Amino acid sequence: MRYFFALCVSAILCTSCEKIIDIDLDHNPNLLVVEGLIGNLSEFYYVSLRYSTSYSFSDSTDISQPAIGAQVAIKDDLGNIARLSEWGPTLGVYRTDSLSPFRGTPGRSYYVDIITTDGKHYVSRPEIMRQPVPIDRLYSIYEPAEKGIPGVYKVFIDFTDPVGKGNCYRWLTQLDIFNMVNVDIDNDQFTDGKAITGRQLVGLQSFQPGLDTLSVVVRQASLTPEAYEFWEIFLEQYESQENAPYDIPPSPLIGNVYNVNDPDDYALGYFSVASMSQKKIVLRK
Amino acid sequence: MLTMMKTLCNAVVIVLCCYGTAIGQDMLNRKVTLSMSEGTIEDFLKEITTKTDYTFSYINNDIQLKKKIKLDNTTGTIKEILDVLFDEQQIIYTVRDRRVILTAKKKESKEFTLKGIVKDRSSNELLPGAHIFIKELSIGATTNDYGFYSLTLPAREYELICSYIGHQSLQKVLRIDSDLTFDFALSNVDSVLNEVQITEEPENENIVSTDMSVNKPDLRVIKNMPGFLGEVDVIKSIIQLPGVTTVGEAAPGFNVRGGGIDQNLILMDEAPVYNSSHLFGFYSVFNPDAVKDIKLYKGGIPANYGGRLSSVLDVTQKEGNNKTFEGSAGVGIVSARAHIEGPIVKEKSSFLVTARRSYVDAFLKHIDAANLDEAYFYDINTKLNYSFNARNKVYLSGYFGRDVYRLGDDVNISWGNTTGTLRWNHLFSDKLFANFTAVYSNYVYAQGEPKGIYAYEGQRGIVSYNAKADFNWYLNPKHKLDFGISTLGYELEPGKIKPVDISEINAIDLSNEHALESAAYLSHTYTASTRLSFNVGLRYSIFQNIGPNEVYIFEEGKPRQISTIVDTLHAASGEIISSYGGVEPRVSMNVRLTEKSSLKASYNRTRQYLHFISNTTAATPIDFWKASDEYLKPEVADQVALGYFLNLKENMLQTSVEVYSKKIFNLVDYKNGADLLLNPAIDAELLQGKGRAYGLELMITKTKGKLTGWAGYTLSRTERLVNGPTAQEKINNGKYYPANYDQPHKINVVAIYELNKRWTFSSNFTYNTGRPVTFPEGGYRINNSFMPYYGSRNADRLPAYHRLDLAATLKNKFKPGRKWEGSWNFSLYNVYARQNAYSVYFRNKMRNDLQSSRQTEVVQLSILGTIFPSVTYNIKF
Repeated sequence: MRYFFALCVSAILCTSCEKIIDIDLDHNPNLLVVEGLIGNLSEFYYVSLRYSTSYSFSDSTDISQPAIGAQVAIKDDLGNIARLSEWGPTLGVYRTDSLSPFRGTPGRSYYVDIITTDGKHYVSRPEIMRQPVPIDRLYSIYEPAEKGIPGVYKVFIDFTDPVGKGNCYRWLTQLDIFNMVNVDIDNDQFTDGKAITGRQLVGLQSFQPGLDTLSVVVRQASLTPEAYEFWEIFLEQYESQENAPYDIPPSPLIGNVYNVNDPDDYALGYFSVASMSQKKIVLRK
Repeated sequence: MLTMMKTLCNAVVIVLCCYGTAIGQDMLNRKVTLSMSEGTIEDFLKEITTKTDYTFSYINNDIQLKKKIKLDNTTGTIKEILDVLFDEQQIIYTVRDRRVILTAKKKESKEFTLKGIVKDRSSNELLPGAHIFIKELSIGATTNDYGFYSLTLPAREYELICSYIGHQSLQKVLRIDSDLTFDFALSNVDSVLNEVQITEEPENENIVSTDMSVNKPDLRVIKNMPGFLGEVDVIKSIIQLPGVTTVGEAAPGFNVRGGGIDQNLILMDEAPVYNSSHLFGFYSVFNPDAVKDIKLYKGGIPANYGGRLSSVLDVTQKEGNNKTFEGSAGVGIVSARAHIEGPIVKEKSSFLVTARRSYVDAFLKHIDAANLDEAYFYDINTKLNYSFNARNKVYLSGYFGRDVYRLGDDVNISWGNTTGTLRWNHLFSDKLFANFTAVYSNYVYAQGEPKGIYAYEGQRGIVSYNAKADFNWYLNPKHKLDFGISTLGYELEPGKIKPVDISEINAIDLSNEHALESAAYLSHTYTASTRLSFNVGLRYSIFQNIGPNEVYIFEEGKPRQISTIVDTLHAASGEIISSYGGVEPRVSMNVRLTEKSSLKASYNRTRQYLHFISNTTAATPIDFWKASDEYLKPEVADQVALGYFLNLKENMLQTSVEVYSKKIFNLVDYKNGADLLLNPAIDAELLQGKGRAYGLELMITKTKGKLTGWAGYTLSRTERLVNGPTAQEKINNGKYYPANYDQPHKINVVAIYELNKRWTFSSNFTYNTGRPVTFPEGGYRINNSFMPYYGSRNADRLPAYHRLDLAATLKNKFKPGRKWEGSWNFSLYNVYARQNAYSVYFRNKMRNDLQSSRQTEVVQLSILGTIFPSVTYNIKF
């Protein structure tokens, strides 16, 4: 809504102008960045540990330093411990064990426990894994090209929100073997207990070169309200970094991972516990 | 033989003397036969002197000697004769040697009350805050909000000078020997004929009164100031005063001495205005054509005002000319205005109607990119009054305004205020003035999306009803008491939405809040001497949040959030959910150092029970008011201020230096990422902290002459502290941080130059430190996106803001007998086209030289980064 005000103001004036200025942004607080999502499906789960960089960067690659050699474990409320080990292909990424695979159970609570090489001990606030919400239908509608806008395959989802507020969703989409990196979230603040039909997830304009089909796998993750709030602020900060008067002043995006010995020292990122339901469709040209 | 001599103390003592022999103590019993039976008292005293050789001495100021007396009996003791002569005067006779000393009984000398009103000669418009100065006593009185004054004085002749800004002073000699009504009718300087040399008596009210931290900007100056696109605006003008800031050019509201925009009590004819902005804050709801008087209290807030922490902006609408019809109209780039006023019953009753409407939309329809189908605002001001007699007068005033914006079929929004005020002025006695008021005020914001699966209609707002009685009791020029009671009822609607069209969303209707805010106050203005005066006031206010409503109970010891709600209590209708209250002392003092300078000090405590819920830097119309409740405590502020006031050049130049320090408790702040809209458990998103502000304000005002205006400099800091028990309940790690409107340096120069009767030029220069912003302190990658890391809040600043505006007004040639007067106003906003920063943001730009390489760019956005010329035509008839 705030964008609407800004839009009105600039539309009315039609005079806004931009110029590039110089501000020193070369500082780095060197904070630990934790990313992880565990669920109830039978698969590998990953936790990524890196350090923050300066905001001003001009490199082609990610210059953030991985946190290597850390001890990482997922713990539950029954005292079970699942250790993660460094995953070869990417530095700073830790993976659940292949011999004794980890799989979450809805209703149990989990947290991550990290000890970095400099001896700092971080944990996430435990989250209870919510019950999965089934996907009623996943389907695609092709909208042909019109007025110079190319044709698009729109993917829709139908599901039924369970009665009782507090259901939060995130849709994770995999196209063939690639995971989409968009953050698509919603909650039931305005739609509690309703059957949701035709919520659009993605719009695809083309397939991989040389392929006639495209497989779309959608996971509907039931997030905790805290995780939902985190991604909501994430989107807000990602979409609007204009610092304009109609914006909410930016604030640190505080996740759920903190230093056991100093609660004011928190890690960036979020360790999320979510149950998932999954459906797959195949699109044809 | 008769001799006369002058003695001390400005009193002339006439000594009548004669040679003769001593008689003794019982000389008053000596019999005498006078050879005259008619004459003045003085004649009789001379006659006694001739007949007896006794001397009389007296102060002729205290004793009336010119009074004619007729004696029935010319023979009697001297005492008997004196008793007859001074029958109507209370005189004591003392005998010393052969001298009879006549003294007027001091204490029992009779006092009478002079009362009346001060009004404009041509329109009979009442003049509030006009000053009546009594030369002989070096003491004065000020008219109240209804132009009324009352002075109780010992009987004698006085020279009174009545003055009011923009009017010719009036001098009047009045003999007060009975209760008297005298109305001063002052001529407006503008209405005085060209040929007449204007002799305005500059005032020294600013030196004399206990008021401090008050600005009463001259409407003539405001109306001549260059406005954005030619629109004269009250709130944009007061932002040019020291101690008043704003977060941005187009931001609504204003900040006073480190207070939030919700901490200003904005009154229009005593009705609170809950959103004072038009067009997202570019303009304010006050149509200058309807406004008579503006007062801004930045500190030293009198006890009759309450409910907001930081300031009072009291805007009085004109009553309307009750002698003849007059009107005006204007056409500018932004809006068109029309105004008419006149008598209903001559000298008894009048009306006023003012309307304006913007027509920006007429242009916007031709701009495709804008895609705005509707974009306009309008307002209508009306006022009626009727004088039943000299003791009873009734006023009815109303305001109705709306802003409407529609962006295709996507979103439409509208907002506006409606206020109505009914007032009854009643004079209980010559000394006791009363005003009874009933006020209705309503602010509503509506938003909707007409089509689609997310179509909805939503609304939120606030309605208040206020009944109050205010009394001014003018005991005598040294003592004045103001007292009153007030009760305000609120109904706050935090928000509701309902689905429309093919919408799939659920209807939400958050339960309304009900509250009652009551107060009583007593304020004593005491002028101890010409050097020392005080105003001691006490206000007691009480606030009750009343059912029906739902109260959430949060788990103890946990941060308040939706997930920690353990129970919901239902408060029945009329049940008191929470209650707050307390005293609010208001004290100010004036020590007159010299004729032209004074030192003033003030302390005031204010309480605020309504909170404006808005977490954007600049408020938007979507933001809403919320009552104090179980969790949200009332905000309290303490302010002390010290000021030195000095007038130069016959009061032509008024200068002041003020320092202040303010502490605010229970300031409202928001959790990071707080969700404020349509949130039933809003308490879970709010934090309360502390604020501190201090500053120095320098101001010089020139009130008279061809050049008028002011210049001001402000040095100030405003900081906040939110330090809750958990990380989510802390801001900036629990350390003080600068408020969004903290602007340490601010310079303003407003100058109006009247070249001749046709040309008036004006300029406005403003400079202030850029507002605080938060720049990233680092970066990190999550979800494969590069994100800024924000550490300390408001640790950085935008570049300094400065701007110069110019305007010129050309009136048409004066023609005797012509019934109308036209004028052109040409204005230039941002003359040197400064690209002031509206915001600074960051963008990661793809670099062409390296594939898939990015570079961070810092972008400064300016919204009014160029010169804006405009022209307006106004006509008066």
